[in-house]
Amino acid sequence: MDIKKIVVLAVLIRLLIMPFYFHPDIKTTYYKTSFLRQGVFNVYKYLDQHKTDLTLQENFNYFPLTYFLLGGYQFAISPLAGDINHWLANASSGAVEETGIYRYLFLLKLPYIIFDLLIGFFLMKLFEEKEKQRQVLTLWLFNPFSILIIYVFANFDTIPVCLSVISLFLVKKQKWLLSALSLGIAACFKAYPLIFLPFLLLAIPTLRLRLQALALSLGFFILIIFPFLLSPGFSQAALVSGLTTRIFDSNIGLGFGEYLYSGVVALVILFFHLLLRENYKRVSLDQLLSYFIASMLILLSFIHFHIQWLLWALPFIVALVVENKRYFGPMLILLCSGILVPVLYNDQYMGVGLLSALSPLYTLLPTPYTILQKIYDPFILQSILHSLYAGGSIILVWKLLVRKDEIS
Amino acid sequence: MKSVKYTIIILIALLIAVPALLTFLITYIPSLPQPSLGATQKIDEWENLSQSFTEKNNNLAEVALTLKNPDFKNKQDIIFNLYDSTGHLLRTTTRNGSSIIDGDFVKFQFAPIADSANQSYTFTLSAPRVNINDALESYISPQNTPGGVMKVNDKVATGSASFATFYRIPNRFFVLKSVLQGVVQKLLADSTFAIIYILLILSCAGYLLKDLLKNRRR
Repeated sequence: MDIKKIVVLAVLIRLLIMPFYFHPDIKTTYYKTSFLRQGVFNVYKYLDQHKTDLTLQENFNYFPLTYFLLGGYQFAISPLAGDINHWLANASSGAVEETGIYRYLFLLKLPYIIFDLLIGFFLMKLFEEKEKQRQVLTLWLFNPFSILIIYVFANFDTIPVCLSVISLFLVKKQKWLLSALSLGIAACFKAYPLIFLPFLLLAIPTLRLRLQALALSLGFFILIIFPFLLSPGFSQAALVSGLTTRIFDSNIGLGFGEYLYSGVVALVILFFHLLLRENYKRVSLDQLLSYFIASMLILLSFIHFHIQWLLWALPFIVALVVENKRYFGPMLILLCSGILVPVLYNDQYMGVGLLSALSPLYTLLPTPYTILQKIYDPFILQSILHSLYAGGSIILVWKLLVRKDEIS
Repeated sequence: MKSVKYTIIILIALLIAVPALLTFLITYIPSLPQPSLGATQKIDEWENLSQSFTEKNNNLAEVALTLKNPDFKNKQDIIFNLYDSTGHLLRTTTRNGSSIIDGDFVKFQFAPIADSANQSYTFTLSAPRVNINDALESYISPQNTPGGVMKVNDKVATGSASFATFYRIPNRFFVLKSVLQGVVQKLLADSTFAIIYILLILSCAGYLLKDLLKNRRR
């Protein structure tokens, strides 16, 4: 199958899925970003001041570029979007029964196709061989994990993931500063790409360039968040939510109020492993890929994660598997166990709730958590699966760090 | 190309086959919606609760209420009786407090009443052997049930029991048919989107099909 057909078939599959599967996160995120159309610049302050007036009262837990990009997108689609604002503001369970829901879900997920295809494009560009380019594109566009996470669970993680892949591509082109900037831009959507930054810096050949890259990346990030730093809503919602706090949940107490944070310790081990590499040889693209994957595997092993966080390493895993097929089996096992962990959470929208746009009758069915509760403690099973994920990750990380393959 | 094949198979299984099969697990469908929860009414040897209502659908088979069982104290039976408009007892069922967690949405299931649409019924909740200290409590709503009356110890009271009714599906394919009809209706109700969406799908499919046929001819 040639590349054009691969892309068209991939787009067709995505179009068939997009309108019919609903996760409330997409509605909540776009509702919060819709205030840009009303001229609200500082959404954190606005939500903090008007929370009780709003139908959906959660904070906006993401960084500012998410607000401006998704809010700006809503300007662009407003002529096509019908009564989307009414639907976004509808906090009742009846929202899934609104007539235009298929149009709204289709339009709101449309940007994800663009970033999804861009990820495939830049993954191709990591390889020189035409056959490997075709393979990586095919494996990225035709793996059920990315399709389910992006178009069914429909969080916007695909945007920072795309920027992270672009960053790696720019390393291949030795555009160090642009690569660092790409990570800085990605961090302005979600914080996790900053974890890649230390490894990227070690791949940069000179100290001067490293300092410039660090300044550019962090500088851009701080420039974007600076206007909002003093807003009470921002510090509570964006700085201390999700990953930024969960990374500290898994810890070993040392007494006197001190803790060792498992995830942080593991990431620092990775960093020092790269720092103390043999003869301080130049870090190859392939090594950097390994460290990007390793950092994400290790991170998710030690924190309670959302299902969309599995996307963060996925494009890099796809590139690795194309480069060396023996990783396919272990990575598949890891991804399957990883995806089962959040599916067992006590959340209707990890199961049958996703079908509520097809019919609200599906919400009458119990979740996997509820079913399991009758026979076994679901938390124990979640923990076993997470332990499986962590154990497999640790060995895979070790294997990645000692391998000598090269991307070609 | 294996990844293309397996991905399509997995997606068809997860996103089409599984939802279709799941419809066969849904056997009771909500009829009258549950109003908001307010205060509570004890059900014990001294107090009983009755509520009249008019059912919307045929095959009425379940009445559900939110019940409190503070500290899981109650381990006794609560009796549900259903009467028609003439006071004739139609159905009776019991649940035991040991299976009722505090705040549980408790379902009283009974043999379906085939011709229940637009008929008036009254249900009662009683627990003649339960001490007041161990009583289950039924949530009451400040809203009145349209066409219904709530009574406590046979005296008319304000508001209504916070209950919902369910009807049993008439056949195995009822829910699948409802889901498909619902999807089609929702799509057709937004006809502009439906036309553009179908055109997009057909364009992509058409391109692939044209290429497939061209290759076959070669």
